[in-house]
Amino acid sequence: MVPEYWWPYVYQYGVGGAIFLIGLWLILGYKSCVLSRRQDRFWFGVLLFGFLWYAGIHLVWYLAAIYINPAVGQGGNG
Amino acid sequence: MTSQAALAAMGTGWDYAIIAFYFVFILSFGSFFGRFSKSTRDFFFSGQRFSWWLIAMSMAATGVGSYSFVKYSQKGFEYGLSSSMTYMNDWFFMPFFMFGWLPIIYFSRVKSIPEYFERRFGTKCRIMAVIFMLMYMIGYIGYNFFTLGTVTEALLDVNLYTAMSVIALISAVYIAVGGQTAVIFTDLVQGLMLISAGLLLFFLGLWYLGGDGGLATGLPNFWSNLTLAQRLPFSGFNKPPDFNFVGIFWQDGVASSITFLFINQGLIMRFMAAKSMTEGRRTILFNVCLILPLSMIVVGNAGWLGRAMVGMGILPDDLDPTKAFVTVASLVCLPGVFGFVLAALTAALMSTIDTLTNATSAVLIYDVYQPYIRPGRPDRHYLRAARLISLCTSAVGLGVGCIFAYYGEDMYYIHAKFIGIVTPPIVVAVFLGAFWKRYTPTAAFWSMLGGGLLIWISTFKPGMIKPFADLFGVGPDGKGDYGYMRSLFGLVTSGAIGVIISLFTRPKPQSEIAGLWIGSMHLARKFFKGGQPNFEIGQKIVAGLKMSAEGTTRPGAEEIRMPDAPAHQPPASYAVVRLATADMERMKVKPGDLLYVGDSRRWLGGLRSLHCRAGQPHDQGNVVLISEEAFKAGSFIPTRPVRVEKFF
Repeated sequence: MVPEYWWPYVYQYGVGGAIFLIGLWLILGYKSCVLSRRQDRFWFGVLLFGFLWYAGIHLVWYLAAIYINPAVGQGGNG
Repeated sequence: MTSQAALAAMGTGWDYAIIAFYFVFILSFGSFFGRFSKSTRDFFFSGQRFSWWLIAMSMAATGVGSYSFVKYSQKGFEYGLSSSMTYMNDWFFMPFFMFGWLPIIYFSRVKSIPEYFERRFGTKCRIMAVIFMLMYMIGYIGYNFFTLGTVTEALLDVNLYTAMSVIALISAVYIAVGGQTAVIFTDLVQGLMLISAGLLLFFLGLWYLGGDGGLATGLPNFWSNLTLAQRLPFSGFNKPPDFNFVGIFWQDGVASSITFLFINQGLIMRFMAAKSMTEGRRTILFNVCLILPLSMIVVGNAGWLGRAMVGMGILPDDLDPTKAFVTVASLVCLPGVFGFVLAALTAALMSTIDTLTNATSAVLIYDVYQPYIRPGRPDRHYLRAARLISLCTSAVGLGVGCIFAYYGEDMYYIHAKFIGIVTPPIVVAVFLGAFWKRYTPTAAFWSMLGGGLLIWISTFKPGMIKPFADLFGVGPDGKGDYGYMRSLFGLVTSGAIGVIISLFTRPKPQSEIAGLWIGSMHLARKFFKGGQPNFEIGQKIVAGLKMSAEGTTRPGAEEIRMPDAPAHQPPASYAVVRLATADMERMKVKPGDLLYVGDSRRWLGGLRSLHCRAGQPHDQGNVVLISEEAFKAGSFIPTRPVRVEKFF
């Protein structure tokens, strides 16, 4: 069972990820983003990077919150 | 020193001197840019000439209001680092913005959100949007005046009404003189100032927590005196009712993110001030990936520090959370530094007010004065009117601020309620209009009116929202309301009305909405250029400038309307300049292509520059031939070389 404090992370990048994917599908489907064009390819990569950037920041933050506690030396102090 | 003693030491001569210097500097600096506003396009959109870094930094200041410091410090004190949630959930709508809304507004040259409503849906929807937006923006200006007045009164013992009047006078003068250019440059300074002040406060706070050990001890002390729940980046999934993750996700991550990106007139004007759509994309990338996380630290850290201080026994556990910012700032700052922090607080306010004032004036000029009161006048008439309306907007904003001050929290509650009612329906109308071709004008009208009415009714009958709240296990707050879930309710009901009515009514013909929805971006680019785009990638060049009337034209001399462009699309109108044959080959430029000619000093951010069209090549060496009028319009300097790049 995933601890309850992970639910927001899973929800944010699950539901948010679904919104993000719908956006990607729309811009590709309507040819607003044409991947054969170099500039569009670059910005499409930027979109994916931004998603991973935030998911990564929040993941590292979670791990730091749970596992780093200088005073106690282990775990969170709840 | 106790917090009470520290508070008593505030407002020293140094603090007053720093704040006075700041006011004089901003007034002179902003007014300097009056010389760059020669038309309404300059006044409201800075001639579409600026680089991404200039716009991105100025947006940092706009996004942080003076209330942000107080509000997020309060949340930080109550709940810890999860006060950052609202600054870290904006990326999901980036595909819609970067490849949808941004090209639509940039290439269609809409000057305001209500104008988009007129072109996409018709006059009825425009009028409704104008009314909603003016009430929202003027109320927001008043609210910002009020919050700064309150903070200044508490900290420096300056009368609330005096503080509001001084701020209103200074911002009104430089906005009326310099327009959007003054707003962008002053906001650049103010953005740098408030970010550095916020980070300085965090640094000093950590130092304070470290005692003799300084930062090396302060950081571990800070971290270890927060509980696990206070260290996590998100609050509880569905509790407490007034600050739970899932409610904030739908209210802020979805509704407010779309509002911020799609219907914020001030923000739209910033993107319209960018020299190209690519610069607009760079701006939003830098803003969301770097500036927003920084802003989250800047506005919330006083509350986080305060919470750690409670853990260390420095502050009492029952400290009023609304006083967290003031208490912590007064505790860790020395006199003088405190003045700097207070000036930053003022900067946060002024940068939000100037953007809102400029945006409100744009709506009043483009959506009220020009179409209905004085149509068909020359541009210099509208420029004069724009300056006057800016002054009037500031005065009205100040008046609303006084009403806030008189009625206090009740007025804030009414304004917040109004925003909560009108925002979701407008958001739905813009979003469906931009991404669904089948969305009809009738559906847009009823999405806004019907959706708004249902949300309004839900404020009396919160039970209507209960099924949505139950989906995520969110309970009612102390008043029996589901405030955070109202946005989801509004989005779903307005969206449902829009979809159902669209299925039974007739959409506008495709030819009339070309360039206004995502599936027509290839046409939008063509209309913007006034010809077929040239996507060949070439080099940028640096060349001298030479004035010549032969084969060049002034700005606005020629207007090109593509035969398949809808009637509402403004024609493409650029000055024609001529490049050397060799330069055109290096740049892969053909006659008719769209160029950007700017002073070669990048740090100017595009202040001296112009969009042009390439004319026939010449053989006079590495120079750009330009007409005298275009030279003046670009504010170029004769001896300075220019950098030339091709757009498409």
